[in-house]
Amino acid sequence: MLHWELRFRYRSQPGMQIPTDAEQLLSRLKESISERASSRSALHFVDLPPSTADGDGVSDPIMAAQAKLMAAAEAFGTLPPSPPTLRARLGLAAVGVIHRLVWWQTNVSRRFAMSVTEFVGMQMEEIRRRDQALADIEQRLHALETEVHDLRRGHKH
Amino acid sequence: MTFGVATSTEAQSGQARRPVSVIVLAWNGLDYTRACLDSIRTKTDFQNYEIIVADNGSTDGTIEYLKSQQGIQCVFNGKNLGFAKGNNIAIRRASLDSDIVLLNNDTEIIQPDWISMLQATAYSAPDIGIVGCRLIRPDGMLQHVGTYMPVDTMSGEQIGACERDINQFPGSRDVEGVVFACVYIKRATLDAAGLLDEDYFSYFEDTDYCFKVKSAGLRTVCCGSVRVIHHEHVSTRVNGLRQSTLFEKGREVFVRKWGSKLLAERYTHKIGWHSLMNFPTGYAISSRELATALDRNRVHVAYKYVYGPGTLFPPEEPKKAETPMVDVFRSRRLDTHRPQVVYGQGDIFQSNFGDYKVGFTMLETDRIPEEWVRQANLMDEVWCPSTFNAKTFRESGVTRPIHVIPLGIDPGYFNPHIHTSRVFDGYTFLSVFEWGERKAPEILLRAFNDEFRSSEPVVLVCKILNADTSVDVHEQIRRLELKGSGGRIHVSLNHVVPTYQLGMLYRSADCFVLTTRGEGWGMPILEAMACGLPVIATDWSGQCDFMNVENAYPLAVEKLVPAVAKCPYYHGFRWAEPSYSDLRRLMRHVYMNRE
Repeated sequence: MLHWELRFRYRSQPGMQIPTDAEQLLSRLKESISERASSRSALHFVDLPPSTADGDGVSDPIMAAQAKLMAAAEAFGTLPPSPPTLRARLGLAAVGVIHRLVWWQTNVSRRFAMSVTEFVGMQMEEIRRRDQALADIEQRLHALETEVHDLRRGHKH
Repeated sequence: MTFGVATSTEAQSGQARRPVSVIVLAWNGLDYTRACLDSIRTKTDFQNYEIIVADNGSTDGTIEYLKSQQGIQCVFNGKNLGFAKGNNIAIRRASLDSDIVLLNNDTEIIQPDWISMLQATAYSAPDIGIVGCRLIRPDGMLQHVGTYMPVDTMSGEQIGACERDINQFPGSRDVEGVVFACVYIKRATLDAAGLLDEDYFSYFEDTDYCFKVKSAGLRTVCCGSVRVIHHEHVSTRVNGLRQSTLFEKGREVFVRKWGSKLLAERYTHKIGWHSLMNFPTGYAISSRELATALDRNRVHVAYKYVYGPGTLFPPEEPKKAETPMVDVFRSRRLDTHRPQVVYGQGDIFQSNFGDYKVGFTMLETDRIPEEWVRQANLMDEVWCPSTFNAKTFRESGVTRPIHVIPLGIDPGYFNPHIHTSRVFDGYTFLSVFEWGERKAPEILLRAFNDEFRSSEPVVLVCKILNADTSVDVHEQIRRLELKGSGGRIHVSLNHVVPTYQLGMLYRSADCFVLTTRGEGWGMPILEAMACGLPVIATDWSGQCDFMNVENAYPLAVEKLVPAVAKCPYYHGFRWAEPSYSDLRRLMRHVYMNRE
């Protein structure tokens, strides 16, 4: 259910939720259960860095945006999809004529788009690298917090 | 929807055993052709088949290679005649009593019973004309388990494309089309519908043929039990062609031949759908599922985002959708003379501006807010997913006709055949919920921790979402002072998996448990049940429409209590308090009586 509060939180805190792959999550759960079998604590939170190679094209918004940009760059010079109506066919023919008239411009545009795509790809790699470093730090921090908490509980009991 | 899961044994004992001609069309790409033929010859357990390779004028050594091979027939076309014509020439060369399998040269066979299974499926009913299969990419991603043609774009949708292959859509089911990278065509189908249409050079000839076969009164089926690796677009890649240009040309021919007919016949009804679809919320997911299901049942759905700036939920909806059909729905023009359905919270109903207005909503308490009642009574009719809500709406003062429209799940993605891995060798309880008062997490965690000992081979896995920055879930759980000697609990907090992969989570566990205080419908309960899990869930509210003692473990309710929560909609109403002691009893019972 979409709660009233959630409505306002969704956009303000998009980073709270970590897109991941089910296989990755299950694998981490398995490790967690195995590692904590002899732990004195009943409760364990599963750590998982943000997925960077999901493959479904949705979970990683940067990757999705890059794929979209590449698709758009590739589409320069192609005819747009249209419904099978007379009006659409006439429109398509007109666009085809324009394409032929400005064929040189299409090539310039395509080269420009490819350069942009390449540049975005480099930026994405850098973001990923930094994101991974941040996730590693967070993971280490959380593990330390859990350890401190467990030690305190052990001391109390 | 049903899945006739053909097994290998059934395939072997099938009545048919007709001879089969496997036709491989090649145009350069020698390495792929070699791998394809090797895989057929080494992997296929079916005996009565011949291989015919049709070469469309290769210049990379393919012809020399083919001439050196024993036991295959070759057809050298001399030049590239295109997919349809190249295959047709080979089909004419095939034995007249044999069925045909068309196979791209960039495919690889990986399971021995592939022909047996395709044949068993083809002959499982006399009106099946064509059988396709599950095409997967070399990296394990799915390419297709059938196709669907949206008439707005006429670009074709490959069902399951870009998803991980988790065995979604197992078994066999009717589809609108299949990709002919691997397809089984009965001889009777060729007799009835003829050969492939040679007006197509490449792309769309397969969809065209499926439509032609349908016109001849025959069905197209996708056999999800057969997996074939497809490298995709090899011909265009190795020959330096632009795939998009060929695709567009094929599409133009298809539109010319089928466009008007599809536009005229696809839909019988038309509605406007005012809701949200492109957010990671239960409402949005069910909204796009409903719209897609309506579309498949010949209802033309035009979608408009009902929230946004100036509403209680101001964000704009992301432009690019997870599901391509959402973009199609959104691109359509609303026809306000047709029924308009608002699917969202009850205080958004008044944004409905159609000639005939429907408001579709739900709430988890024993009454609904006055404002919801007021707006519901502005509608021509009101829809809700459960009889529980029909009752609470009526008792709250809704006077308009109320219809129960149950939500549902897609059995392609929620079924016991979904592939997954277990997280624990012992017994695993799983709960999936958003953190908050309504799900009574404290009852679940305490009951499990108290009932089981840490030495017992049992764990509780909780997949929790929390979007409230003012709530520290770690701290709230720690305050419960769970016993170190008690049952072990593992929490996944705020990890969001793609919707289509949720079945993997359910299948990884032995029992699903949800201590909810109230549900409008209870989708996770239904999803878990559809995946074949025993379910323990509160015996009150929406889920009681599909959950009972015959198919689940209803959790006793202590009493109705005031619905105290942050959500303002609940103020002044009541919901159920699930029984802590009954939960312990039920969890112990399913643990001791596992199947």
